Amino acid sequence: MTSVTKLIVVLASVIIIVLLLFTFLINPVLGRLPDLNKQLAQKKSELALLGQQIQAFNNAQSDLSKASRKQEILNIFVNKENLVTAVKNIEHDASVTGTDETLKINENKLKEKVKQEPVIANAAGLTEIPYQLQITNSFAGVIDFLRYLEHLPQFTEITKIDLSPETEQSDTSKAPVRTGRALGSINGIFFLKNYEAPAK
Amino acid sequence: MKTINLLPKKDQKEITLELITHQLINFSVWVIVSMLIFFLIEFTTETKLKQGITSTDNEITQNKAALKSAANQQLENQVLTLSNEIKLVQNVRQQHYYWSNALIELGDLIPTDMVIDILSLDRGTGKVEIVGTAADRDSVLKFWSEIYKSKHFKDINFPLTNLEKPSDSPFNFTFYINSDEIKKE
Repeated sequence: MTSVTKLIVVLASVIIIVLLLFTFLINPVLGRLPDLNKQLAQKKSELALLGQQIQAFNNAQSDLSKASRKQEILNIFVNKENLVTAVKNIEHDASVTGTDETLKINENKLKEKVKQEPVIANAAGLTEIPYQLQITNSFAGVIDFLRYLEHLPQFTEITKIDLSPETEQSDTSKAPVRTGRALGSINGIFFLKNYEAPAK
Repeated sequence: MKTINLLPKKDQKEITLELITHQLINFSVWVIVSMLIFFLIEFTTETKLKQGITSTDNEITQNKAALKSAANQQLENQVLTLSNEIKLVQNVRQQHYYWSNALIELGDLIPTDMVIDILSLDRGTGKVEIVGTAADRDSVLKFWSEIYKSKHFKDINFPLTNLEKPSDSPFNFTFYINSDEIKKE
């Protein structure tokens, strides 16, 4: 083999080897690297987001354990079985304000075919149970009693108030005499959650 | 000193070509070794990236499992329940009527010589009806004027029958609740 031939063979071999190396080893891996890098960046970003969510939950857990009046808030709207608390509170309020009261809960009104417009709009999950209170007290006493009702821990909404003077028969005149006390009829609603109306 | 190559021209050319071939082989070896080293670096990087992706995937799976754990689900439910309950309370409070404030104002506006027979307040219609008797007509007019200016009430009517008697004047009025004012505690 002459030197020229040897040089040409070496040169050709080198070119072929370099091309083969580049085509089958270097280039494919080089092509995959940006994709892998992008994938890793996306995964890291997802991981960071999850980390933030875990942190947020940990903070929420800590905040929730510190939150005061949590149970009080959860107990504002009672279920049917616990409505007795509201009733007892009304009786207590009447006693404190010296009001004579008679309570009638009109659960049967819920069975009526013509549905009443709700007193409180957009209160999903709450059922309004109508009630009527017949009361007797002085005008100031009635206002005191109303003030207590307005701040009932279980929440109630008054829908109608009718007041008239209490009268009694006098020994001296035929006309009835005003006693100075007011007779009142208060219509209102209790709020119940998870309420299922009784079967018709 | 002058160097004289005594080899024939042909041999001289052969030797030069041999030298070039040798240098080319050397250079090629370096190039191929460099390429192999570069490939090695590439391969190591690829392996590292794949390992990184796998380990990140594992961490993601663990974190997702942690987020879906019973404790977290329970906490999420608690927070949601509390948040919904607070929204509900706020909604009810925003629409709550403080009737006592309206009645206190009404009590202040009624002249002392007026006797009330019927007082009716209805949230649904917003209507207030009052029926009674006043010692004189001036008291009836004064009451009308006071209600006209009041905070909690509006749109009082003016029935002419209220003007019929100068004394022991029976009256009846209809007016309406100012719903914005009555919602203030």
